[in-house]
This record gives sequence, structure tokens and C-alpha cells, in this order.
Amino acid sequence: MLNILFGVFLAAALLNLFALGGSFLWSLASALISFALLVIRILFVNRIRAKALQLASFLVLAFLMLSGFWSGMKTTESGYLSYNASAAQIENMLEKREFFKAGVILDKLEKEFGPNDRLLIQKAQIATEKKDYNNAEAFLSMVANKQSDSYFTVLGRLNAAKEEYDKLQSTYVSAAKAYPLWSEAQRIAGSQAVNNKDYSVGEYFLLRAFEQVPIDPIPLYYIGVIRYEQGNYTDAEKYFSEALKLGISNEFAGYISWYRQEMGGKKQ
Amino acid sequence: MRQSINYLTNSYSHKSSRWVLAMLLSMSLLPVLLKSVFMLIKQNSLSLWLVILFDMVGWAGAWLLLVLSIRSMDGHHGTNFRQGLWKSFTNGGLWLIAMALLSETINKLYISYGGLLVVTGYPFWYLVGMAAVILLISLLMSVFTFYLINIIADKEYYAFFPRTLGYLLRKPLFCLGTVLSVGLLLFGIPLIYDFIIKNLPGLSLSFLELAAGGVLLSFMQWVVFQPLLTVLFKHAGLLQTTITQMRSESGEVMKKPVPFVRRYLSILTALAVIIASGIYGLLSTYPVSAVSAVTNNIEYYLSYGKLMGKAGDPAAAVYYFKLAEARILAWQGAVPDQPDALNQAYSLAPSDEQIQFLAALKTPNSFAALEQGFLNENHSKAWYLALLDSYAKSPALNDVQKQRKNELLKISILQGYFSMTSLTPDDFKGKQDGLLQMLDKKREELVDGKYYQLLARVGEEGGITRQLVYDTLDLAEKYRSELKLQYLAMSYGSTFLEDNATHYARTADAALRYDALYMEQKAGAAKENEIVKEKISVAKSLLALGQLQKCADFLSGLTYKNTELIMLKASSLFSLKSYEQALGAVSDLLKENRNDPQALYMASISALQLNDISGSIEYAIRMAKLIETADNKLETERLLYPFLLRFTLNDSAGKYKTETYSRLTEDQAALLKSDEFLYNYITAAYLWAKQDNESRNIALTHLDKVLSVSGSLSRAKYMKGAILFELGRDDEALEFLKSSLALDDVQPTVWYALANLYDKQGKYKEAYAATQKVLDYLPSNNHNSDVFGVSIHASNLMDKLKQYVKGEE
Repeated sequence: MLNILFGVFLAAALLNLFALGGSFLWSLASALISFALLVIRILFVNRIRAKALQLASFLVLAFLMLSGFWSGMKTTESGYLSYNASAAQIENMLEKREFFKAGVILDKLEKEFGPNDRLLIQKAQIATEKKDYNNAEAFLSMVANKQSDSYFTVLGRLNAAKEEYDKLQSTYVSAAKAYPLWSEAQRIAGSQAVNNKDYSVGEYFLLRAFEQVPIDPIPLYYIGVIRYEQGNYTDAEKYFSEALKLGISNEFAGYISWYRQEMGGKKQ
Repeated sequence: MRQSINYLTNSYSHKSSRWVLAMLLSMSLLPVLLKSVFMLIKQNSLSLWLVILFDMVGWAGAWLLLVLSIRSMDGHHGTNFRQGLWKSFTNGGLWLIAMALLSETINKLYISYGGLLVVTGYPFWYLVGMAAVILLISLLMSVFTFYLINIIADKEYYAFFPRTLGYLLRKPLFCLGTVLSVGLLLFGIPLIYDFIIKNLPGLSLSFLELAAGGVLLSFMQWVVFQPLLTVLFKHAGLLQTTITQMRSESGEVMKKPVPFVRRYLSILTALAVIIASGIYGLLSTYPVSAVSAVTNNIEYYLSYGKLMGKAGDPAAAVYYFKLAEARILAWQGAVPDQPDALNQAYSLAPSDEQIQFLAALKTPNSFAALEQGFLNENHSKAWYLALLDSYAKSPALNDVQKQRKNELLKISILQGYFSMTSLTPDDFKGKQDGLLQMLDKKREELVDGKYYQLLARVGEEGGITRQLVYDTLDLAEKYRSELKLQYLAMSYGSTFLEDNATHYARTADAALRYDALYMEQKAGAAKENEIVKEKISVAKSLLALGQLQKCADFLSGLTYKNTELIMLKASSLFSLKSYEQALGAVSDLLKENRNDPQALYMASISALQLNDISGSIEYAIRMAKLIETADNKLETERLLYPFLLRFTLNDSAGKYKTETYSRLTEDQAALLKSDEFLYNYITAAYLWAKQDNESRNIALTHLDKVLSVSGSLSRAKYMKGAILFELGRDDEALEFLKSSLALDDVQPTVWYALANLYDKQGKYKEAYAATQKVLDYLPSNNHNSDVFGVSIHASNLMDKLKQYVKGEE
């Protein structure tokens, strides 16, 4: 049985090494080890104690399995794998706010592969973070697919950074309309509409967001704000209480306290 | 416990175990190995049939090794391998394959259609269904595996199926254990394997990884399958012994030939199941019929759209309908080569990968478009293989491109992407007409999506907007036979009312179309009260739109005896000033309910207009009596008040021309005086209209008598407040105006009087707020109910007050 497995690993290691561009070191090691074990098990089986051979075989098998899982393809310069790895690295850097480093890799990728939506959106994001809004807008205007979720997200960030709240609302309303099952877009569209005092639109998107994620307290908080603004303090209190029950963050809990104080004062 | 461990140890170390492992490896690794080597040689994607052939080689190897593993079990006679292989295959092997394929079909069907349970809000029942499917499949596979083992365990390679089944049923614990083990083998282990692979840190793509994965999966399956096989074989031996004993005891001939029909009918049935399941599997995996595949794909989105709509989420319904529409356009654009349609599809759903794929294939420089898409994270199997094939077709590749092509080939192999299973425009050669006909048919179903879009827009736009009303009407006029659209046009249009709107006539037509379609499509199955409800909603819409003649015509043909319908008919006739007909309709109503205030109101005014003074007074007296006795005095007084004005007023603009009070005959005056309350109220109104202080003072004494009957008469209080204001008794006037509004806030005339009073007192802010109230209740663009032009006067006053209010702020 073990001979079959070593045979399989030997064939796979050789194919990996010579034809499929696998890691040289791991593939060679796997090929040699499986070949050695196969030879030992066939030719020297009578000279070694059976239990020792079995134990060694199982250990080697475990090693081969693990090396198999980690003997990945080598990336080649200007290849798709290196492109994907670099693009993912940029996303990682953007999350860590390492904009300069990300920009350097981005320029290199653009030189090798030319501009495309993925790179343009990343460039717009960096420009937004650097407060270079004109360039951010220029990069976004070059994006071919202006309906992708990543486009909406970066455009939203740009509008927020520019404090253009009407545009911010319209960006997220467009996103929420394009992707009605994208709950975050519904929530942001709704909350931004509330901030812009567009309560009927806000309520619609917030209710959608809450239906989609009934454990999210933020839509409830904003619906509470709408009720407060409409002078319906009883309902506002209900929504605020529910939001608190669902564990809203301290920041929002603070806002709720303020509203409660205001409502108390007005009721008196 | 120890016995079980010994049993397991013996089972795993048995010589049959190597065959079992080899069998499992043959299924998981052999086809992949063959496909990989061929693809490396070909440097291109493989044909569909080659892929199927390699899969079959893997299965054939597995079959061979399974037979070998069973034959190597202890107690097997082990004679004549070739004959045994064939006999066991035709007797039980075919059935096992048939059941494996049938199980796959059942599973696929459940996943395809069971998912609808989740969408429609029954996820629990989906899970219950899934558990039932798993049990069914496990049972099928258990029974037929046991049957096959029985066949191989028999010297003649034949076992009678009912006897095998009977044995299993007589031993429920053994049967349950087998079913659960098979369930674990078929469903549990792949799940555990996926979990391990997904959570393994640093996993990378390589052929060794594929091999390691295959070995791991086979090993995990072997851990369960080997002891299961041993147990099943042991029971097969027990069954054989029992049968042999039974035969010896009953003197039955040991070697009994199998009847011809039973043997060949069984094979034919198994083959039929294999072919049917195979065809289904092929159709669901590979686009054997290109037109059907596109139809299914579009239908999928249409069904989801309809389901979402029914589930009350029109926005999500629109999303799916839009995808269906975009795909219809994309195929229309890609197959007969119509770039406009493809562009339209792209603008509808630019993020849809199928549309991006078709657009890339149809671009003149498709290689560049495919590469761009690939760089933009379009990493579907179709995209990989299309780009790879596109490289292969390119005549001259530079070094970087060659390098990328090699890399792509390797990645495709390692991802398991061997053959193009997605449709491309090339698959429709000679089938273009069929495709276009189907697409045209599917396009007709998109109208539901447009309906849901109109519904979703109400929320997205924060209410019914002018644009929404006109868009709905456009669509309702385009699709005149669509009941839902006519209803929506009627509802939106009759809600969105503004002065001189141009949509009223169009909305009224939509309402009448809705009625006609309702009677044609729904009335047959509807109860009479449902039909009456529908008629009432249409009539109310027509009235709201001011389409009085249409409403009257609509109602005149109806024979339903419903008071609301008759009231609506009377209202429309009354508004059309067809007083004689209105009075006729109202008389019918009053026969049913002689104290209906609305009917009495119309009757009193109609009679007045027809110069039937006594009749008019009689109706008014009945109304006055109602005020004295009714619970809702306010409502009845609200209806009596216009009668008082018409009876006593001849205004300069000429709206009221029925002043009658001054020319009453003795009999008529006596009739009026017969009701003291009405007499006082009507006399006060008459004296107020005379515009002199003496009359005003007398009017006040009459009003005091009116108010002594009931203090909760808002109009009487207003009249008193207005007279006091005219007499310069501002503080008293303020008190009465305020108490009138406290009883009924929705009185623009009273708010206007209050605004004037505040203005006179120099309380500009309060005056301004009061004018605002007038305009809230009586918008300046609605003149239908503003006989005295209060709204215009209030607007003028408001303009005047603006400067003072600013000054105060």
C-alpha cells in the first residue's frame, strides 16, 4: 500500500519539477525521498526490521504530504502570479496605511502591465489618502467599470474626504441600488441620507440594511434619529433601546444618551 | 472495545486494504494525472470528450480494483477472475454505477431547486430536505454495494436482490450503521477534507499539492471504507451460508439458472438509469445544447427575480431582472454580432462576468481584452481557458508573452481547468435563429422587472415623484395588457395630485384599463365583494383625479347594490352639478340609511340647486337633528356648514348664487323655524353676511343659542370668532378662533382669520406661522376646494409678513 503512495509522490514530484514549474527545492527533495523509500521497500525489505521500516515510511509519507502542500509554483518576473501577489500586497499595504511603499509597487506594476481598473482604483485610493483629490478624481474617471463595488467604495471615500456629503449620499445610493443585497452599501446610503436630512430615503435604505443584517445596531440607531427628528420620541426611544440591546459601540451609545437627554427636556 | 480495536487493526492490515486504497487513488488522481499530461503536451485546453474519457478511465480502474479488493477478502473462492469480473459487473456492478449516477442526479436536482426554499424564507426546511437527500443516497449506495459484494461472494457470481434487501431490513442496526458509514464516506469526509484544506496555513498551488490533496482525501476515505467493506463481506458470507443451508434443507437444486427476463431486464433497467442520469449530468455540467444552456441561465435569473418580488423585495427583484435583461442583450449582441446590444448589456451590468466575457471575446483585439479582464480579477475557469486558447492562436508571441502563456497553462492545470465548459459565440453556429427566437420570447418576461423597478423607486426616491408617475404611465401605455402596470399607474397617479397636472386624464385611462383587465382576467375567480372593492378603488381614483364624467360613466353601468358605490356615483354627479341625478342616487341611499350625513348634505344642496326650497330645508333639518344627537357632531357640522353658506350668501365672485333666506315664503320660514337649532345657525350666517355691526351683534346672540346646544361645534365657534374680529373685539375673537381650531385643526379659513388677527396685533411671527398652516392644508396649487381663494390671500399675507419675521429674528 505504501509503495503505491510513494510511487504517486515520485511521479507528482517529477512532474512538478520538470513540467509544472513547482518549487525546485521541495520538488527535488520529495522526488529523492520518495524514490529512496520506494527502493528501500522493494530491494531491502528483508534486511530492515519491519516495524522500523513501517515507522520510517509513515514519517516520510507525512513529510511528503506537508512538502506537497507547501511546494508552490515559482513566480516569474512579469508573470500573472507575481502580478496577483503584488496587487494583493498593495491591498495589504493600503490597509496598513503604507501608502508610499504601495505607490512604488503600483508604479512598477503599471509599467509592466499597463493601466487597468484594479490598479487605477488603488491609485485613486492612495491619492485620496494623500489628499491629492484632483488626481484621485482623474484616476477614477479613467476606470472602465464604474459600477464595481471597489469603485463605489473608493469614490465614497473620496467624497467623504472632500466633505461633499451630497455626492457621498448619491454614491452610496447608486451602490445600494446597483447591489441591493450589499448590506453595507444600504447602511451607508441610509445613514448618509439621514445626515443630509433626507429622512424618507434614509429610512428606506436603513430598513433594508437591518432586514439583511438583523444583528447590526447601527441602522436602528439612525432610524431612531429619524423618529427623533420627526418628533416621534416614543418610537425613537424604542429604536435607541434596541440598538443598545444589540451592543452598539460606545461612540454611538454616547450619541443616544444625548438624544435621550434632549427628548427628556422636550417632553417636560 | 478491545475486540473492536482488534477488528479494525485486522481490517486495515488485511491484504485487501491496498486494493481499496488503490481504488480510491484511481478515482481521485488517475484522471487528473492523465488530463495534466495531455494538456502539457497539447499546450491548450482539452476537448470535452477527452476529459470525459479520462474520467471514465479513472472509474474503470476503480471498478477493477474494487473487484480485486473484494476477491482478496478471506473466504472468497477466488476462481476464474475474468469470468467473475464480467459477471459481477453485469449482475451488480451496473446497478452500483446506476445508483451512483442517480445519487449524483438527485443531489444536483436538490441543490438546483432546493435552494429556492432558502430564497423563499424556509432555510430550516432546506436543511431537513438536505438531510433526507443524504440519507436516501446513502441508503441506495449501501444497499447496492452490499448487493455487489454478495454477488462477488457467491461462487456463481449471482445473488437475488430481494433476498439481499430482506437481509438488510431484518438487521436494522447493521443497516443503519452501513447507511451512516456510507453517508460519512460520501458527504462527511469531503466536508472535513475541504475544511482542512481551507484552513491549512501557507497552502500553495503545485502539482505536488494536488497529489498530496488526493492522497489525503483517499486516505481519509480509506479509513472508513476499508472496515465497512470488511463488515459487509462478512455479512455477505453469513447470507451465503444461510442460503446454502436453506437450499440443502429444502432440497432445492443448488445451481438454479437465472430466468432470462430477470437477468436481462435488470441489466437493461440499470443501463436506462445510467443513460438517463448520464444525460442529465452532461446537460447540467456541459453545454451540450447551447440554446438550452442560455435559456436555463436566463430563466435562472428570471425565477430569482420573480421569487424576490414575491418575497417583498422589489429592489432585489430588479437586480435579477436586470441581469436577465443584460444577458439577453449580451447574447443578442454576441451571436449575430450587434455591438450596440452588447454595449447596452455592458451598461446595464458592467460587473457581470458573463457579459464581460462575451464583450471581450467580441472585441476586435480580444486577446488584449481578455488579458485586461484577467488582470482585473476575472479569474473564472472560462476566462483562464479563453485567454490560454487566445495565446495559442496568437501567431507571434514575444518572450514575456511566452512566459505568461506557460505560466497560465500551468495554473490552469493546477486549478483543474482542463476543458472549456462555458458557452462562447462559436457554439451557436447554425443555431442562431433558434437562439434569437428564444431571446425574444424571454424578453417578454422582463416586464415584471420593470414593474418591480417602479415599486422599488418609491423607496429609493423617498416617495412618489412626478417623474415616477410619468414613467409609470409611459410603461402602462406601452404594455396595455399588463394588469399590474395599470394598477400601479392608477395608484401612483391618483396619489400624486397637483394643480393643472397633465397626467390626470392619462391616469384615469390607466384606471379604466385596469378595470377592464381585472374583469377579463380576475373577475371570473373573484367573489362579488372583491369585485366591488376593485370598482370602489377605481371610482375613488377617478374622483381624486377630478375625472368626474369618467367616474359617473364608469359607475352608471354598474348594478352592484353597494352603498359606497352609490355614494361615489352621487358624489361624482353632484360634483358635475347633475343635481337631479345626484338627488336620485342620494334618495336611494337615504332609503337604506335615512341619517347618512354625507347623503343628507348632498341632498340638501341638490334640492337647493333645483329650487326645491322646502325639500332642501327638510334635509337640512335632518342634518341639524343629527348634530344634536350624533356622537360625531363635528363631522356633521362640517357638512352642514356649506349648506348654511349657500343658503345665505351671494358672494361677489359669483360662486354662490343660491341665497334663499331673504326670499323664503311663510310656509318655508315656518318650516325652518320648526328646528330652532338650524334656524338660529342659519340666521346667524345670514346676518353675518349682511356686513353691518347691528346684524353682527344679533348674529352673536343666535350663535350663543347654537353653541348652547353643543359647545363642540368648530364652525359655529369660527363664525363667532370672525364676527367678534369684525366687531374689533380681538381678545374674544382670538379665544373663539383658537377654540375652533382646538376642535378641528384642519380649517385653513380659520387659520387665515387667525393670521389676520395676529397681523393686526403686530404678532408677526405667529401670523406667519398661521399663514404657513393655511398653505399646508390648502396648497396654492390646489384650487379645487378653495372657493374663496383663501390660499392666494394667505400667500399674499405671508409675503407681506416675511420682512417683519426677518426683522424679529
